[in-house]
Amino acid sequence: MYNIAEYANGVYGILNARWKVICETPLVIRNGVRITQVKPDESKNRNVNNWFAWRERNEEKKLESEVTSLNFGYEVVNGKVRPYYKIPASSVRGSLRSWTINHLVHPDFLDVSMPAMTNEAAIKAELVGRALADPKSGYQVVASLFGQALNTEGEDNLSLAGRLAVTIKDLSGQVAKPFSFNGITDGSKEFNGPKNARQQVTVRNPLDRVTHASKEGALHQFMEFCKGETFSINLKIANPRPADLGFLSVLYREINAGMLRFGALSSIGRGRVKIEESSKCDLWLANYFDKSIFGSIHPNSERQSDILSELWEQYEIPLTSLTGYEQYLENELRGSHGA
Amino acid sequence: MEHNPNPFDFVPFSNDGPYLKTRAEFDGMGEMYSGYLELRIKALTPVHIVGYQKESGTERNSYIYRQDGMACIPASTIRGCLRSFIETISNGWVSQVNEKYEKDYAIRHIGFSTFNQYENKHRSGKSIKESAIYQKYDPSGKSGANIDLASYLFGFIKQDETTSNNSSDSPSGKSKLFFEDAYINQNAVDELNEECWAPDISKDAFMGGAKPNASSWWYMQPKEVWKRDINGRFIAEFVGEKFWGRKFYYHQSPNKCMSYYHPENYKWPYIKNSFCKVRLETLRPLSSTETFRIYFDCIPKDLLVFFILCLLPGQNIRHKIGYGKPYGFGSIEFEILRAKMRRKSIHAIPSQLVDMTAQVLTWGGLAWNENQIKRDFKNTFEIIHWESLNKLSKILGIGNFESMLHTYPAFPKGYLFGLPLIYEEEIIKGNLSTKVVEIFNSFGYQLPQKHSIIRMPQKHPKDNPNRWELTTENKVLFRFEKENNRTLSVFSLTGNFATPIPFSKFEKLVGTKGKVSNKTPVSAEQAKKIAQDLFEFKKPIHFQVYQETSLGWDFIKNRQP
Repeated sequence: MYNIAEYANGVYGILNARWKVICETPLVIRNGVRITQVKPDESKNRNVNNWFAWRERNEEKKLESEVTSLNFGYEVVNGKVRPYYKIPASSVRGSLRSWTINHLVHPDFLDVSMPAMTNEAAIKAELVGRALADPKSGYQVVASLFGQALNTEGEDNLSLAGRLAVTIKDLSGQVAKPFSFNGITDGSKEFNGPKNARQQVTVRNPLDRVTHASKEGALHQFMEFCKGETFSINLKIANPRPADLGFLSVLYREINAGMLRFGALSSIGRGRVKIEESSKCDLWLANYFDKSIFGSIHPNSERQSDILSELWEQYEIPLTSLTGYEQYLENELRGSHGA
Repeated sequence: MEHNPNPFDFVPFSNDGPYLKTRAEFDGMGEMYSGYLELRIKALTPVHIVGYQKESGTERNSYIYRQDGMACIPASTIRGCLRSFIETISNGWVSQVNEKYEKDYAIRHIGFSTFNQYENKHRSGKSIKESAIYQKYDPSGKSGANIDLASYLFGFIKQDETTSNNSSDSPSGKSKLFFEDAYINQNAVDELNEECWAPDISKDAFMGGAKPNASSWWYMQPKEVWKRDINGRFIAEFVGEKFWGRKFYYHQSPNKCMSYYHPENYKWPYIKNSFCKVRLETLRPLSSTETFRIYFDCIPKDLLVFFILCLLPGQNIRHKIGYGKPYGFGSIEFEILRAKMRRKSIHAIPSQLVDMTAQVLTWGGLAWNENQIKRDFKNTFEIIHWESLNKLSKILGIGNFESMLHTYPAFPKGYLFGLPLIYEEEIIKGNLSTKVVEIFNSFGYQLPQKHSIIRMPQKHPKDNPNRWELTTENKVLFRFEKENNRTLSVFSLTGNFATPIPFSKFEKLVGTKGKVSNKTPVSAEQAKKIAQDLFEFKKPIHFQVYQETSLGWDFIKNRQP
């Protein structure tokens, strides 16, 4: 799978998976921003008539507390700039890469993928070289799909652009949705933050093991996208092989089984999603390319004409038939390359 | 008069220190499993997780936690409940504690720190207080690459300069367990009603809040007796040092407990702060949540077995969760409905998850068969701290729980019970009816036939003018006090938490006259004897003595895992 001269003969094909994803549990993707919750008074009421402001907390005001917010960006709508929640592709890509390393790379080579392991470029390059040279390390899959960036050059160059590109068609442009706090839709006075996703505020309150009192300073609140929110993940793999289809198959079932999650707070169940069955997987191959390596695939006879239709054929691969390609990926991991 | 056992108790820390291993050692405890369990939580008593609380006149309504419009037990709550249990029976670190309890003139005579020494400055000089928990139980301590089992399973971050960031010997690692929220169908929710409530007091933290104090042997094991000078009056101060252990609450019937605390039964002193009824919206007893999942990633077999045992802890032990634990709320059990798992593969892609429900339930059925666990799962056997499990079974044991009543000892000095205001006239006239005598009898107190009742003088403008003393043969037996417009409180001159013990009385009752200095160390046995000798004067001195002399202790002490 790994080929240092991957693009020496150009690009012969693209594997394009467009997955529509629905959140089975709340999803938390952050960017370090904190907003403010304001209590109306110091009564023993809890979480009643609190309201939220899209600004940092005023530390001098006792009734204000922090709430960790979600990742957002800015868009221009009707000539006006407004914030909107967004799911960065880097977050999804990172989850996929992390899963791939933890599950497909042999334990003896796990350290190779740790960026903080060493500051010494030469040592790192040597370890990577060793992992790439061993056909059973599994690291070739990681390097080939996600790329490899090292301080090497010339004949010793191991750097390679990844074949996998991840884009997200996310929550932008969606209509305003309610904000929930303890199951109550909030009528925030000042909340001029993003509203393009259903969001809720959740609280965690660690307890002292000896007194069962709240641990001082540990009570915290955070925002999350509600269960049921949807977005789309687009995975594009250049110069696809059958093993790549096998890789997508494994990702598909791992994501749907809940074994691969996105975002933060997976330890309290956040980030489990489901790929809808209507999601598609297309294979685009140059006319000159030997398609037989993919087994029995059929051109999409219903496809509309598009800019590449005279040069490349499109093959639609149902998600359910991807499982047949898992053996190719397995062969890669065992060092017997299928294609 | 007999007393009920306290609602909580402690599982002691082992003197041997926590059970620690490196990640690699834990990794080696069997082949690795990944997958998920599908479970439900069944309520044995009403379960309440606070969503929001709203004052309603002098009372409060507490609505169950909701997420996305549905009632639910949050994943973090389930996680915390199990982590606390696992830390205890694996004799692990104490992962969540408040670090310091500062010396404060009004609140705390002796300051202390949980894991470090603390310097107290008194009028008599400085003193160093040793840590309340052995430092070896501190997760941030010097344990090198070693971690406890809970950290291995639930995740751990440590900045330790003695180990590198190399994954093979770093103690840090992400969680291997992933808990999801347990939603509750609205049909299983009992809405607010007059039958389901917890007592609280107005203006203060929930029933006053937990108050660990080194000036008593309630939260802490006995260390010394001090002769403390309070403006020329000398009292005996019972100074503790090490926490008794990790706190857990007993199971009991909320109905019985609610009845005890209701002001109309005059058993609990709502004097300084008035009673506040907190109505609770709950998961109904014998109802279950919807199915939820606990995922796990690469857990060695023997540790997975251990985790299953913690979820299904045998016939006798059940868990507690949520609000109102001291009053019997929150008793639950987990039901495993399905297990889908796989073994870790190397040189191969992860396989599909397969149904292994029968296998997992078989493991659960081992609780707590020592011989079988030792034979089949050597590491599991080694990890279980059997002494802690034994102690925990006394507290979380479900046997006889519906007949038990656990209540806090009253705080005000000498408080016995309350009388309805209708009897005020009789007290003013000094002529108590047979009805009042019967009330005294029902609480275990005898009124002498010959007695007199006189109003106490108001020596200071701030003194309560509505106080009377009941005397016989010039000896004061009881005191009546009208503090608010609801009840008359009846006091003896002794007993309860706030009762100070004059040092001279201490010396006389304990027989130590001339033998104690300003700070006298006491052994565990000496401390128990002191508490027993003072018992009739003040019961809640020594936590263990108080518990072991309570009603129903025979049931408790005989509970087994």
